[in-house]
Amino acid sequence: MLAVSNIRKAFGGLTVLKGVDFEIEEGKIIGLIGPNGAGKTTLFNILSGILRADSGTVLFRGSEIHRLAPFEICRRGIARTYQIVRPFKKMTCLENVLVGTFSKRKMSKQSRVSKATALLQLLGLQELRDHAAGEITLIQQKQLELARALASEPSLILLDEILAGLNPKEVQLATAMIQGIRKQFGVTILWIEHLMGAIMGNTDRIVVLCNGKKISDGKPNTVATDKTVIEAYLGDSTYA
Amino acid sequence: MWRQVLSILFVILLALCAPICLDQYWLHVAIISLYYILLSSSWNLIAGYTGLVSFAHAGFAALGAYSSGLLTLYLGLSPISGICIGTCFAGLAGLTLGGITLRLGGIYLSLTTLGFSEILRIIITNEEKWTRGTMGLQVPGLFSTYSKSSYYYAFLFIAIVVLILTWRLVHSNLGLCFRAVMDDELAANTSGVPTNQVRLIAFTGSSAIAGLAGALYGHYLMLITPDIGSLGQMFLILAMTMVGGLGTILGPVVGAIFLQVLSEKIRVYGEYHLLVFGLVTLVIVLFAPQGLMGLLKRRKA
Ligand SMILES: Nc1ncnc2c1ncn2[C@@H]1O[C@H](COP(=O)(O)OP(=O)(O)OP(=O)(O)O)[C@@H](O)[C@H]1O
Ligand SMILES: [Mg+2]
Repeated sequence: MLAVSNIRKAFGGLTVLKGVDFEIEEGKIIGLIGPNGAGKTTLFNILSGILRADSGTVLFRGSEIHRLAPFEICRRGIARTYQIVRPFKKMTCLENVLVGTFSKRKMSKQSRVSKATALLQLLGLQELRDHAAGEITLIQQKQLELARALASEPSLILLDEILAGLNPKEVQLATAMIQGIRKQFGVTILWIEHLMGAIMGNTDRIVVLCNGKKISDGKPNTVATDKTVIEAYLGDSTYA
Repeated sequence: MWRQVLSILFVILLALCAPICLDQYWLHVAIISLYYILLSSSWNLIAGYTGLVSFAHAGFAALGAYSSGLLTLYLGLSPISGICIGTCFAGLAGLTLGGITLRLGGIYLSLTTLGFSEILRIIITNEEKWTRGTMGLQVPGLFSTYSKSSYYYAFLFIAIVVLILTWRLVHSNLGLCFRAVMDDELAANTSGVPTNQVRLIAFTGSSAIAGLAGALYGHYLMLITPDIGSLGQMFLILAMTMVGGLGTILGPVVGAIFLQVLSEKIRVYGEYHLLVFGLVTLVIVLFAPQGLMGLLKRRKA
């Protein structure tokens, strides 16, 4: 479904991605992990069209998308959430999700509203429908971003640390929610997360990025026992 | 909701009766206020709903006024067709300026519009052969027999139509895209909103309305000068919108009437006129950042 090949990206003198390749099959949940500063978010920014890669290609369902604008990529079926949330703060929750529906052109106003309402309900935000998105809690904003992303009817959704800042119980609820969403919408998920427990138990495959290079790629338990991966994390004091 | 509709209908009714109650002088003030209502509403459409700051709206008004004036004068077009063409010219100028600068970012639009309006003013001032420069260009009136109340009703009609259209636009799907782009351009873009196109549509429409206002104004004054497009006028539009309330439909209406009437009332202070004007504007913007409309909302709540 998605084929990333030889993606390179540098910011000034700092090379953040040094030729990354991987593929994603339809219907899977793929984890993307790696120490802080590995280049995960940068890769998401390239996939969603916010940044241009210096070289390399991104094929999505057989066509190149790495030269497209973000809105075109979204219309082709890739939606995302942000590590540092970006809801439309001055707009209501309903309006936030409505904006997501605009990537589908032909739709009556009524069906947009009922679709957005249903998504708010799914994520447990129905009570906040008419609240400004800037005034709800961080966790609610993350849920809202997910609802907005789903509103564009994506076939691939990119989640950037959606569990960060949640307590263990909330993590459980959220992972169940993500599994439910995959079943209900049949959406493929590429998922960045630092929480090893959650990512190991909920993905079909894991890609590990370190210093801008892919260092491992495989089934969760294979990756967990991979020497290079363990070394990479041990080298990073936050995980030692 | 019903109370709002009723109070708006009441205000429209009052406005319709104005020519009966006002003398010629205050009727003139009312017409000028309507001109500024059109200009501030058009500026508000982009500044208040898409977050773009244009300094060319007085310039677009001058473009509309001079296009229509010159066409009626030298080609013998009727004022109505002159006004239509003037409106289109301003819209086209907006489309061109926006098309070139919008993808670079909002600050480039601001700088370019500033440059554009000054260049336009200089051209109009210097092309004396055609425009008569600072002497002013005499252009035909809109009606065959001069009557202030006819002009008043023409302006009122256009202003109401523009306000209703703006209201509908702001509450449409496109209007939601405007606000999303203003709130977080990147998030809007990755959510499927073609942000550059959306801003270009808003800027073109807004420029055209400013052109329409200017063209109409020219045929009312029947003597147009480069001052229509001056930066002083531009800052007046800006102040009216801010004082009334940026990002609200009625804000520019309230702001334009308030500042126009105020400026008539303090005219007697001569040189100090501008000082008083500036102070009042400053105080309102400082103590009511949401403008007079914001004060009204807060009192209700
Ligand atoms: N716009 C930018 N300009 C300059 N440097 C950047 C920019 N964006 C990211 N970087 C740098 O690129 C590197 C990779 O950043 P990135 O955000 O992709 O890491 P990450 O893997 O998502 O890390 P984390 O787990 O902390 O979110 C970091 O060193 C970061 O400082
Ligand atoms: Mg990151």
